[in-house]
Order: sequence, then C-alpha cells, then structure tokens
Amino acid sequence: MILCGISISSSEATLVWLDDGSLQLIGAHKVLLTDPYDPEDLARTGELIRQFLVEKKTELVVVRKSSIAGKFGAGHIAFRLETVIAMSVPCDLAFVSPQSVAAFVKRENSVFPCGLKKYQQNAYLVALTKIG
Amino acid sequence: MLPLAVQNELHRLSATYKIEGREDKGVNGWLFFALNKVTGIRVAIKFYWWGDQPALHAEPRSLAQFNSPNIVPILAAELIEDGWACFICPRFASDVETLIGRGAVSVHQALDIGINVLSGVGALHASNIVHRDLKPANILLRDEGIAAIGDFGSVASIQLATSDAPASRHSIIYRPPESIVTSRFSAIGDLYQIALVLYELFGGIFPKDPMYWLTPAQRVVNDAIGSDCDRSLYQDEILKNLILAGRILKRGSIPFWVSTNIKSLVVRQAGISLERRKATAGEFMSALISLRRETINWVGAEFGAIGVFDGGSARVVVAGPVHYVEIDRGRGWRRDKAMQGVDPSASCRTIDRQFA
Repeated sequence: MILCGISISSSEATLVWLDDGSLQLIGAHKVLLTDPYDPEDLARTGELIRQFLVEKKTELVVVRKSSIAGKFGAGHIAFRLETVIAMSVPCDLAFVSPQSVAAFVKRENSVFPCGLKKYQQNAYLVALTKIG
Repeated sequence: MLPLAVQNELHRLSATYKIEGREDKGVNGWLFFALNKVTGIRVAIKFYWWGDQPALHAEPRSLAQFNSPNIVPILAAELIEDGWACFICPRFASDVETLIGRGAVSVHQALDIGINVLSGVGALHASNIVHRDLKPANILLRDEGIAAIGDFGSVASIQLATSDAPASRHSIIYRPPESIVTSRFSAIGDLYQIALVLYELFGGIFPKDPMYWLTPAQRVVNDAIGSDCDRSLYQDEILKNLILAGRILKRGSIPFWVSTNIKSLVVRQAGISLERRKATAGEFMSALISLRRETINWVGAEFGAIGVFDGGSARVVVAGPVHYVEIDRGRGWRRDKAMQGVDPSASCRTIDRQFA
C-alpha cells in the first residue's frame, strides 16, 4: 500500500510518499498556501494536492494534527491548509497527533531512507507512526 | 453525404432533441449540436463508425470512465445500424482555439486553462491513458471559463512494460520530438502539447499553415512537387526537422507582459530535452500555480499592457522607443516613475513584485 505522510508547518505542507511494506521512499513534494483568503487559491492548492495524491496512486493519507493551543500552537493558515488537505483527499485519511509521533520516535529507532531531506523527515515519521 | 443509419437515428432523436447545427471542422465522423427539449440542455451528438471493432469505442469509453470537471462528461451512448454508433455530451460555450483567435487572453486566464487541463490530464495519466492530441481545438471552455478536455478520438492505453503507447498520427505540428524519433508517445508527450497550448495562449507565434515554416528555397522545391500528397509529405518532413531542432517555438514572440519565468517554463516544457521538462502533470501544475502567484493579471492592450491587482490596476504604455508606467488605485491614472524599469518587461516585473 502507498502511504502519504503530511506535516504542516506555517503555510507549507510537506508530503512524503512511502510503501508500507518496504518503507521505501517513493517521492516528496512541498505545497504552499500563500493567500488563505483567496478562495481560488485555496481551490487550486486543493486541486494540486489531489493531483499529487492521484498521481502517486496513494491509498492512505496520514496528516499530523496541528496543535490548537499551547506553546507550539499552529497559526490559522496551518488549520486552513489542514482543511484544504482533508477536503481534497481522494482516498482514506487519518490524523495523528504530534504526541503520537513523538511517542513513536521514542519507541522505535527509525532509520531514514537515503534521499530523504531534513525537512521531509517529519512527514516521513508521520506516515511511519500510522504503520506502527 | 450523411449515411442512412445516421439520418434515421437523427430522425429518432429529433423527438427529444432539436437539432441546431453541424460541426464540420476536424471531426472524425459527424458532429451535431442540439437542444434537449425536456431539460433545455445544449448537447453535442457525435456519430462515429465502429463496424464491430470494440476498439473504436475508445472515445466514449474514456469519457465515461472519468468524473473530473476538466474532462467532458458523457450523457448517453448507443449503437445504431450499419456499424454506426453515437454518444451525447454537453455542448460547451467555446474552445481554446476560438479564444486564441479572439486574442487578448490574460496571463491568469491562460495559466488557469493550463492548470485545468493538467488536472484533467493527471486523471487520464493516473488511469494509464494518454490523450495524444491535446491542442487548442480539443480544449473546451465552459461558460464560467473552466477548461475541459474533449475529443478523445486519439486516446491510447499506456503499455505498462514500456510506459508509453504508439504515437498518434494526428496534428504533426503538436507532435513531441521524442515521438517523431521513436514513434512512441508517453505521458510527458501530453505535457509537451499542453506547453504548446500555453505558448499559444500567451500570444506566441504558432501558425498552422505549413507554408509559414518553409524557407524561400524550400518553397521553390515545394512548388515544383507535382502531387498534393508528395507536397504534404515534404512539408511534414520540414516540420519534423524543425521540431527535432527545437525551433518550433519563438520565445521572443511571447509578449513582454508575460514574465520571464513563465516564458522559461513554457519553452523548457516544449523543448527537446526530456530531462529539463516537468515529468508529471502534478509537477507542471505546481510550477504554474507558483508562477500565477508571482504575477498580476496582465493583458495586452493597444497602448501596451494593462494589469489588474487586488486594489487597483497598472498599465505600461509603450510609445515608440519610450515607455512609462501608470497606476490607478481608485483615484485615476497616475504616473509612477518608481515602478519604471529599463524596458517594458522590467517595468511589468517591478509591478509584479510590488502588487502580486
């Protein structure tokens, strides 16, 4: 099965695809939402995410939840991006909390595949958390 | 002469549909426009010959397979007598060829059409299908300006072993260079054709008349050829050589208000180097979306170019060798020397950086 892990930071979503059997990296993309008040831009961003997911024949999308409150609370653009992703996903969708990802990292000693960039590691871990 | 089977079917359909006209340009079969007397929806009815060869149902089958706003939907399809079949689609307000013919396509409008078409093409590619004949006439426009891919007469399935399909024999001028060499067509070929459509939308010179592409010496040779068929083959050969040499696009013919980054992307995507092209519809779409955010909505005008941004408009007035910039933020046009660059193109970029 092909999984897509998504981590959102500020107005940027990092998407990383991996195979749940081999844990091999299939691809990665970055999607930016520049104007959260422009409905057309929101629609185009959603369409782009859907396009990437369809192209990679994604079966499950795992998104890291944005923190609502606290020191690491996310900005409003991150929540909009989260909604855009949720509305444009053409397959199964799951959310994992940042705490679950942190617990997974503590529990498992993950080895990152070759070619994975530093900024893509979070999204990769999000997908791995769902696989368990 | 309309075949008897088609005449009979039209007669039968006329109980429900009011036949309004017939399309004669570039159609394989017969295409009629009609109005559904019950729903009031305008439709296109296409008749094609299939003669007991299910492979010839490729077009309606492809149309029926997808549920994308950027692919023409199919309303009904049926077999009729003597090896003929027909299918019914909604009739669209216009097509990109007509839009280009009218001129004055804005930068955002052109990019939006590109994004729409890529969305439709992405759906095809995800199902291992290539269109192989993407050109302005085959891209239809809804009333609200959304583009949808039509005419699926050339679609082919991608063979999984080779990731490509046999090349189509349609429209030589839109044929990708790699297809001329290998006689094969892959998904990246569709993206090449979309880049050509974008080039035309931005105002690049792209005449369809083969004679335009001939040098004076080649015209003399062409005129000396006796048969029409041989002359056409000679012209095709010259076009193929131009495509293979990467000389089919003239970057300089794209007007100054189109940003350098957009020009570079289009020229690179319609270039001969496969490595320099975006490999997937998603990547190409992502690049177009980024570029759309970097520019205001420019459109050509008699005096130069006018651009609309959130809260006002800007215009670059070209008068012979000089040019100047004017900005209107709701209080009339005022000259703005701070926005003025060394040439009209540089002025447009300064305005883009400030207002996009």
